[in-house]
Amino acid sequence: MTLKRSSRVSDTLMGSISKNRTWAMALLALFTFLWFGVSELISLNSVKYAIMDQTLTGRLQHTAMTFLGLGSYSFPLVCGFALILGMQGFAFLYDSKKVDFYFSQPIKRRTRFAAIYLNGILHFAVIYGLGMILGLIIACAMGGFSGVLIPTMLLEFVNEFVLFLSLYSITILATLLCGNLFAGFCSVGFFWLAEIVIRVMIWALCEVFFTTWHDNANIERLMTNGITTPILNHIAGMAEGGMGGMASSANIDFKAFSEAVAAFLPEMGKNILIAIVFCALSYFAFEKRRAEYAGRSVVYPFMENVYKWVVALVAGTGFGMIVGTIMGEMESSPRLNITSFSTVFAICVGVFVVCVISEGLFAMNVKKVFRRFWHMPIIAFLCLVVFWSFDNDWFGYDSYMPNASSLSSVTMWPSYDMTGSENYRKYNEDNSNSMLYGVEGYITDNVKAADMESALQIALLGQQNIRAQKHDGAGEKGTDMLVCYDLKNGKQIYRSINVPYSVDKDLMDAIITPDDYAEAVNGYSGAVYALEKIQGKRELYANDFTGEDREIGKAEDVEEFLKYYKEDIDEKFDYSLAASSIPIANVSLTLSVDTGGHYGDVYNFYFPVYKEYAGTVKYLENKGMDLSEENFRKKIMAKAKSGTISVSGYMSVINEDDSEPSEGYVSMEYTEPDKIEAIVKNVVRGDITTQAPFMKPDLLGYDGLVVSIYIDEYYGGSIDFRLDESKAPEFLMEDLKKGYDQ
Amino acid sequence: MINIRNVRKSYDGRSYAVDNLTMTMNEKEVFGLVGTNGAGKSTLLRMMAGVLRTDEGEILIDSQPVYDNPAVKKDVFFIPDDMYFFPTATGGDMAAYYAGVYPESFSLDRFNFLMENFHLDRSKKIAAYSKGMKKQLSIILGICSGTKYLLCDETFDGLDPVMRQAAKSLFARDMEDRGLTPILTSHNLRELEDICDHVGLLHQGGVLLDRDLNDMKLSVCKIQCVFNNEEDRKATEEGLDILIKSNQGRVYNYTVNKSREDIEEHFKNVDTLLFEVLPLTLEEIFISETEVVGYDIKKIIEG
Repeated sequence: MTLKRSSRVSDTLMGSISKNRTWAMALLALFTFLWFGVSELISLNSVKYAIMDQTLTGRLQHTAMTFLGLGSYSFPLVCGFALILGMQGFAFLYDSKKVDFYFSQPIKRRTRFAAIYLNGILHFAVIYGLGMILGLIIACAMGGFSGVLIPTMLLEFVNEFVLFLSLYSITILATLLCGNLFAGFCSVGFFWLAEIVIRVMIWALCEVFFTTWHDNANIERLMTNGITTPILNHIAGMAEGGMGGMASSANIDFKAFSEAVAAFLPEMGKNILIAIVFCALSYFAFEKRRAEYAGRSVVYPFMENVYKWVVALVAGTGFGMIVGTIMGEMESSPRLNITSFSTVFAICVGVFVVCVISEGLFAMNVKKVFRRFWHMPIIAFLCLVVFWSFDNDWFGYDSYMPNASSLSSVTMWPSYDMTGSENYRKYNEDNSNSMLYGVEGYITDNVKAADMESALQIALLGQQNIRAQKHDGAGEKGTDMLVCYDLKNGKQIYRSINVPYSVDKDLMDAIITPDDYAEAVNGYSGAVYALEKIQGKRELYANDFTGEDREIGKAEDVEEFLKYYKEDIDEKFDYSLAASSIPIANVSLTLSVDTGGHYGDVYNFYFPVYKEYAGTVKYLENKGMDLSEENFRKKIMAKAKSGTISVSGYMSVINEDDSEPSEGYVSMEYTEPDKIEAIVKNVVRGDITTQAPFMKPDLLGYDGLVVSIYIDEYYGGSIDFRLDESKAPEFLMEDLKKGYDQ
Repeated sequence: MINIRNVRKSYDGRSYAVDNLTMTMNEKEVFGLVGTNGAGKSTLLRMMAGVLRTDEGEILIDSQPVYDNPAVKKDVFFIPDDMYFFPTATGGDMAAYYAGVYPESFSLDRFNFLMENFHLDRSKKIAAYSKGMKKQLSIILGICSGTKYLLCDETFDGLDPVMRQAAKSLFARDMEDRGLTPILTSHNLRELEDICDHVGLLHQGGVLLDRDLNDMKLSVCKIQCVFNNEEDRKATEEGLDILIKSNQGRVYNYTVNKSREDIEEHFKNVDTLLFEVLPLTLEEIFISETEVVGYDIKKIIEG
């Protein structure tokens, strides 16, 4: 082929492909314009109207960044491009007339593939690029321009381009594996979503079956590193360095930009790899694809089995799990009972439905729905095998205990929310865009168990207890904890455990009494870290659990308070104190960052204060607080008597025929002063567990009654206390029982 | 020259649409492919156009394999039974497209000339054309592509007699001017009879006959005769390569695989009351040849 002829043919080919794409491009151009033009304009305009202070520029810059910045929310638009361009480009293979037309021409298959493939990329690049330029013009015109906008926009273009490339290649492969449009759509759906669905299914199975499953740590691993789903990698990049990092900061600078780039690069790298692999597979499929496949559902018979078996396995397992879980809950069983008829039946139904629909679609003939009927029992059996493998812990997840020799360190901490909403560092950003530690993050990274042997003993105890609780309905009451094994090979393995209250005190003290652990778990380390990083308004409040938040200091007082608090926790904090005492007060440190009032502005750190913390108590008393027990009773009694109280809880009532006790939620209100006094005199503080690490909820009568005292000044609502049933006055229990009977 | 050697093609992996077919098509001849429904004519043409890949065997055009070979395919234009045109294209758009695909040989001037002569509006959307007009357009595009080989699948079906004649004239002129080799399939055997130099008769994926049309006509003849007695008849039938035999009373009709001269020689010493040798039309040859292999009208009707 001469060069001239080759060039003429290529031009013709590109021209004809572009012409065929006219409608698709018009549609995509419209959506691009709506996003980068109309939506951005509306958003920037609304910011201008809403913000009138000095933060306006920052907010406009952030808003522009949400459209143009790294990890912007434009990726659904990119998905649309990939889907439409990928399918449209190769859909001619579904029509034998078009196949005759195109394949009879003197153009090599590889030339045609390359032309269609590159044409799609070119169209995306041009339309999306123009859309971004339009967005940039609007951002500049509306005052949303910042120094890093153009570089971050360029990088975002590369980032979205890589996402497009990977999704586009996957879409093309999925399209090439089918012979008609409907099957093509299903195939694309399969390739895009199957991996996500399988991962969600594994997650759900782990949640249901593994008692030591630690959701927060593992879900991130499970939902990243997409193989056929580059969206997972893209979202992981966004979570690490995207919108979160760029948009919530006060000053967008090049340091933030470079950090976001560093976070995005590995995820982009994965997607580039996916794009290369799927492009190669697509080319191979195109080269090997026969013209006569037009009109068939699935062109390669082996793919019929891949589609059917994967979907049927997921559907059977999922349906079985849902029904099994519901039935298990109905039977008050803590585990999924896989031998139950309902579960097996649900599996069979799920598999049957998918197999029948699949075969009907493959043959495009409803009479063929029972073709290869023998597949069904095998798939249903495999679903059961999946259940068994999880139920019997074939992979040893629940019984996992690392060898001490393979460990570099162990970290463990109570799993309930220790510092309010600021528990996980990924939610916390400071004004320099670097991540801010929450307590859990701080402990995981910095506070390793000094006594690894004791840590492993506690971990084993906790593992045995949590498994006994959930599997056999036995086990002791204990503290929910998380353990992180840092292996020498660099891996981190997280597990949930439940350490029984009867745990040896010395064993626990070996872990929690070292100063760095006590400081971290009580919020001190996180606060110090935050104070170093965050320049903003600082306020100290104290609450003695009577419904009052008292301001006890400003920025200049923080250091002094922390000094006393550190001394106290270093000296006094141990397992006996933490597990068996109720804090008498809670001090909160609030750091406010002036970024215009959106998420990430305010950071709260909570410090539980026990009566044993002499220095801190004295400090608070100097600030005008009376933390004595007498004062506590006096204050809540006064509040209660000035209004009404309500007592609510679950009542267990033995049925008249001596059958199983029934249980119901009841609530009673009291206004009589003598009854209020009788009830309130024995209440204990409520709503403390989130701020006091290792405290036994039993101390608060956690399973008992909730006494709500209505007070106008407390957000116009009520403050809750706990009342142990054994300490409740007789009339109260009778009233509640009567209330339940009614 | 097109050489088809032991070609097999199956769509479902169980039966063959084209089964061990061997055939040669010479240059500058009109080759007619006739055959029963499902004989594999279109499949063969699609393989020759490089659309389909052979399962076994090879198709060589000018000694080169055709599949995915632009060097050969630039000399081949395929007009399928129902040709595809871009959805919103005009005749002019399609010509411009083909001019890009066949840059060395496509003649836009000729296209414009022929469109005018065929009274087709080159700026009108093809979607608004009638079926016959689309056929005309496809023939014009094929002719103007200037390729050496023109593969036409049922192309004359749907054309009115005038246009059919015009198309045949175009083929004839291009054969003379530039050595065009048209390869045609059709069910209208009278049509092919007028134009074809060579005919290949396909049945169930294989070749029943592959001969020069004149040779074929001369080698298969129909005899009508009345014998004096049964002994003469039986003796005469021996050695006569009979394809079909029928009789009405004493009048016997034979379709035999012999030339007129051979038949006359065979009957030289036979005393007959009536003896006549008649030439066969292509349609009669088709029916007689396919009947031999079981494609019999009586069987179809009576089972």
